[in-house]
Amino acid sequence: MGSVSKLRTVELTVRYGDKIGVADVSLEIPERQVLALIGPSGCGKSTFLRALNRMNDGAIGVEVAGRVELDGVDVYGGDVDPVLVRRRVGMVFQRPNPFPKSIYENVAYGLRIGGRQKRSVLNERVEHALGRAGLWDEVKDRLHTSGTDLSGGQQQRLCLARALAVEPEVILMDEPASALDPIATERLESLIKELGRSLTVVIVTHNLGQARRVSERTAFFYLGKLIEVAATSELFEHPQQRKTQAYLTGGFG
Amino acid sequence: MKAAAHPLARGQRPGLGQERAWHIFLWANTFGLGALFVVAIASLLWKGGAKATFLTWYPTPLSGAPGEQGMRVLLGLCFYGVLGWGVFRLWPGRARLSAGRQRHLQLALIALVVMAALAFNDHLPRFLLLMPKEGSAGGGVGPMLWNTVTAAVVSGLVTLPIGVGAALYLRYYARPSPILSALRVALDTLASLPSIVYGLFGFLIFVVQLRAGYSILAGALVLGLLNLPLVVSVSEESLASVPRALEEASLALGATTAQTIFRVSLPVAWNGILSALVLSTGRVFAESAPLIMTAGTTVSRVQAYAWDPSRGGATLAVHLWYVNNVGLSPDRAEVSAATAAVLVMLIALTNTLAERLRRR
Amino acid sequence: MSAEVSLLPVSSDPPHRRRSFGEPLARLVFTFAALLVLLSTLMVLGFLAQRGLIGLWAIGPAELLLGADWRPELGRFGGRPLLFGTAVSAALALLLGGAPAVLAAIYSVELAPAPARRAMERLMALAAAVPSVVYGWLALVHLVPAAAQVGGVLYGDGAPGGEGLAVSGVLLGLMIGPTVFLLSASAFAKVPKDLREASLALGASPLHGALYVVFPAAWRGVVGALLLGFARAAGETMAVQMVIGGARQLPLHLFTPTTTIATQLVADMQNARPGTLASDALYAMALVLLVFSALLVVFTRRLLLGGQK
Repeated sequence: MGSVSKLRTVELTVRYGDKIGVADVSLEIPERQVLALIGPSGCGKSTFLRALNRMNDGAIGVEVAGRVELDGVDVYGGDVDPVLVRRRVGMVFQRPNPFPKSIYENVAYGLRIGGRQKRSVLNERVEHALGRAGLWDEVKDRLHTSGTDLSGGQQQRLCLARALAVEPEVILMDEPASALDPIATERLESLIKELGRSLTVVIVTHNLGQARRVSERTAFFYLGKLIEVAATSELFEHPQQRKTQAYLTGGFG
Repeated sequence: MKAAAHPLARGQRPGLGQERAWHIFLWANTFGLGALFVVAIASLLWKGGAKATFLTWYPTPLSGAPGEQGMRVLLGLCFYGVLGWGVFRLWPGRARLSAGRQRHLQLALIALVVMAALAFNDHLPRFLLLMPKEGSAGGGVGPMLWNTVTAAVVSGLVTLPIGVGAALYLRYYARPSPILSALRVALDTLASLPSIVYGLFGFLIFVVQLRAGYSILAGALVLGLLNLPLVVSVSEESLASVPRALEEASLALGATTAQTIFRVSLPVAWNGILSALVLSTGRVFAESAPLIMTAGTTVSRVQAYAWDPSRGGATLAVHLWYVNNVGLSPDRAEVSAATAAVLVMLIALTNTLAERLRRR
Repeated sequence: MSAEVSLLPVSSDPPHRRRSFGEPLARLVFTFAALLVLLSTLMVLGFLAQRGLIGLWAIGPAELLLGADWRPELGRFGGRPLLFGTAVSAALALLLGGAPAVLAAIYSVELAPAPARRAMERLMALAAAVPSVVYGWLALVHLVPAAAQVGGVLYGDGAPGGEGLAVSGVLLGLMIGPTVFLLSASAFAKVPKDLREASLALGASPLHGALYVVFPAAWRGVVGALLLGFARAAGETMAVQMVIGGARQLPLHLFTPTTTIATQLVADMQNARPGTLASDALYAMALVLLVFSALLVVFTRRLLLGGQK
């Protein structure tokens, strides 16, 4: 592996009421890599992802046990401000969810949180973020039109730009391409690979091909448990566990 | 535990002070608003509740108005019925009984309520039995209660068939046409009119044009009109929530649209429609201006407990206004408090009922 | 709504169709009910417009809307005091009741714990259904004496009884508060959960998301709630009548007795002989109120429908 762990979970368990969503998962997430989480639907991978930046905090009846360490600090520690966690660990969702504001305001939203900013600084950072999300050239002439008027693929990249603008260290993606057409998906995948060079990316996907294309490491979840984690090529070519093997060959899903 | 502050620790986010101030402001605003209404409603019940609900040890004498004894029995049924129902619901031992036992208990309670209504109808709260008094203390709201009920029933009889019929037309028969859009505009307009405008209309038609004088019938008709948009929209909503698959299944079996409506859609949507009726009854309890202009503010002694809806008469809400603005009774503070308490309890009852019906 | 008008095929013709009168009869009955709604609306508008236009024609719109002297018994029909009282008390209501209600709604929906929100919504549903005369009576008993003291301090002898725009503004604010709360809370609740999550995931606090994402996304609903509240406040009659003093004059300040359109309609109607100018003037005034609230509601509908696209 070689690289340092950015995020690490230690015996992480998530319960909804009396149902267990994630059971006892310990996983190292190395820095500046793309980690893919695969598994059949309902296997807890999305729940796991949302536990990483405390997105489940507001939900009623969700209980989290175990630890999630960001650079060695437990994110669920008693004195931790979840808002600060989310500033460093951003998220892109399954369905594109741009705010009903202009493209510019969508990206600037996260930048304005800390207080007022100089217009020139803001402009520059908006441009930078849109550029990283590969959207700048397409929208630079209509920054002040509504973000919801873009196409699905563009909307998802806008959401990515919005997340990138606050310069998080980790980006979590929950099936980001599931609502997109093949061309938009390809576009997004190449972006994700590129982001993996400078950021830590964790992506949940149903699409095994996608996991294989974008990720350096892959983790297989089944019924809330982490079954196997290995370098992507390793896991796909020589899975160690029978369940992994069965899943990869389409035995269930 | 007091380790050096790590980068995720609380209290180091920029703008935190401002955020806290906002939180406190919003909390205080919300709490203040809520507390205001709690205090207002509670003080009202506190001041008037006892007078409006406590049973008396000595019987209340009859006033001699025809039909009074029957009204007392009816009121007794309602009063003891609500009391018994409340006891039954709140009794903690109920959950431990089997369904059959609960059923028996319910029947026994009903029998008890009927007996109490027959035996103790002269011991109901005096305030609910007595005639109002104009110039002296000690008046009650007996006839007002009866007038309120009459107005609610008559207006319900008007609103329900027309409102549900129009909703059925809108849902199942209407096709885009000028008539349809006119109907939508009409409903919007009716919903937007201030109630005093309805009052003026009723006054113009019934009192001025037809020279029929003040009557509860006129008031109820006007209130029925006022409630139409509410009943139509709620009925339409509950019809829209009937699963389409159910209706299609019925049609696929060869049923006509009308048969489908009566056998499938209406039974499913019925609770929602009833909740609309209950809500509109609540509005009949609450309205004053249109009734003052169409049903008048006074009660005639002879007709106090008559069935005839063409008599004039004040409802509870109108009485509350009348006592404070026209009436001369020395105990009007008490009478007002008790009347207001009765009104609020009635409204709370209808609200709970409507909520229950909608949930089902 | 009007897009999905005919859900079921209107003439479904199964092959083995029995001859039945049920279908055409039901159709006739329901159509009749719908026409009855239409007809009664036309009647309300027709009768009021007829009398009202006679009044408007005889008095002249300029005098009716701008004249400062309303004394029907002397043949003076200047409606300015009425209009002024209505507008100012409704505006005060919006400020004192509407604005706090909107803020309380956003706090309850976005920031308060779920049980607190439910409790608040139930309380407001009850408060919204409490008869307006009950509020009027509470204001008469509690607010008028308090206002008399405040007015006395501020204006000395100029504020004799405490009745006036101040009390009616507070009263109307209390009355429309619950309605505004319920309508704007439902507007906030309709904002998709996605947007809140997006905001949270960017490292915004729930408060920041509430103010900068949810609020802007629901602004149409909020404005709609406020406008309906305004219309309701402007049309309220008996409760205001109990506390405004009923003096037909332009008020000097918030603690002088004055009047509103609706109040004056009830007060004068009983004394106006039908067919006289005094009576027609009242219908003309009612027409003003009617047109005003209809416009307000139509505008609100437009606004809300615009947001659904």
